Amino acid sequence: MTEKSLFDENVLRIDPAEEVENIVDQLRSTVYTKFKKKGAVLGISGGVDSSVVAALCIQAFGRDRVLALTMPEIDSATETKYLSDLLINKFKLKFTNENIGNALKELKCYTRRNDAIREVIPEFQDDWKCKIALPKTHITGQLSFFSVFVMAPDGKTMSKRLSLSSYQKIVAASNMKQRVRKMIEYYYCDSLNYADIGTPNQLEYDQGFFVKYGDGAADVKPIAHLYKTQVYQLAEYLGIPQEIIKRPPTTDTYSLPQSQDEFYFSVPYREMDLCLYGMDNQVPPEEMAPALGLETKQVERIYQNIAQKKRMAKYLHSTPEIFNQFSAES
Amino acid sequence: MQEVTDKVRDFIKDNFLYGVDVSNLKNETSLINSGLVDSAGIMEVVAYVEDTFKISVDDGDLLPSNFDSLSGIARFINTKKSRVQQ
Repeated sequence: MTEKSLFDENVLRIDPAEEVENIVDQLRSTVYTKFKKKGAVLGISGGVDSSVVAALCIQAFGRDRVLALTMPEIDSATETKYLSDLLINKFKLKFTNENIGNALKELKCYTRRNDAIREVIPEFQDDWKCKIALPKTHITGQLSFFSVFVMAPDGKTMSKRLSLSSYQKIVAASNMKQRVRKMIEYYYCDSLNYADIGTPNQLEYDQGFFVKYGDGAADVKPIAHLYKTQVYQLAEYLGIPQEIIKRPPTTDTYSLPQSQDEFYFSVPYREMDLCLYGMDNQVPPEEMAPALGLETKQVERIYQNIAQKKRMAKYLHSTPEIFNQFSAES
Repeated sequence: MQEVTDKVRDFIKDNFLYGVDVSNLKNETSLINSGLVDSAGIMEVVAYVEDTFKISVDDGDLLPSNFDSLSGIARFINTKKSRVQQ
């Protein structure tokens, strides 16, 4: 007798037309009525999330009231520009290109990061490529520990497990990229009286895969309630170019290609989506496992990892704490 | 073993609990699942173990059984140290 899947992944199927209508209505009411803003600014990356949000903004506000920003830097992948241009041309987006590479150089983003890498790989040179990555912990059962991978111009590669100090410094320096981008976005918001539209999906939002006060900052996050697989459904419905849809999710933050699952989730987005849904809806790991083709033990590890990231995300989601009333002189 | 466990307990208390009541921190309590220590915190625990007990933690050692509880950490330290002494 074959093992029967008890969990149906079609639970994440949505009605794209209805969902688009719903989001567009809410975008209009939030931006126009609640915030009294005249349009939308968003950063686009050539990825599916920002492309879907751009298309939604066009439907909500019209072409003349949407400004898309491309903000490449020294480590941006070459296909980022190509795919961003595809989107701009397809939807005839108004756009501005702001290269943030020089700003980041002045802030010593690259120097700080490279110095941190040299704490664990002293041979690393500034012209080498690099990335940090997590092992597939749901398979190995190991704890999540980042390693740094570097590649010399002659193709020689090295990798080393990161110390806490080097990991924190690398992330702190890299986070400057998202924060500088957000600063530029708000320059245009202020100068046009537009709202800033964020582009995280539910997986990223829930699991804290964003930089606090960087890409985590926005006035509206119109797809933060949608799982990544649902964003792909909207992408097909909205006519996002196939090359963008087929691009593997990437952080586009390091000079070596880096997928989102090796940087943060450890697990591909389809499995992450289903496990996040499963955890939030009390689907037992033994019911989820056959649907994913995984062992129950592996799903348990993914659930534990999700729970851990939810705890860490609480700080990222928090707004500044304001204490109670002052103590009046008696 | 008890001496090592107490030392690790003090480290966890001083670095992650910040004066919170530690009566719930049993030797077998999962540091991660209880929310006491996050993934960056585990990196800190590993660095503490390496520095304080002068042992090398290999990639293959990075298992929850070795670092997710006071007793697991103490067992790991004792096993490593006894291997070095042999």
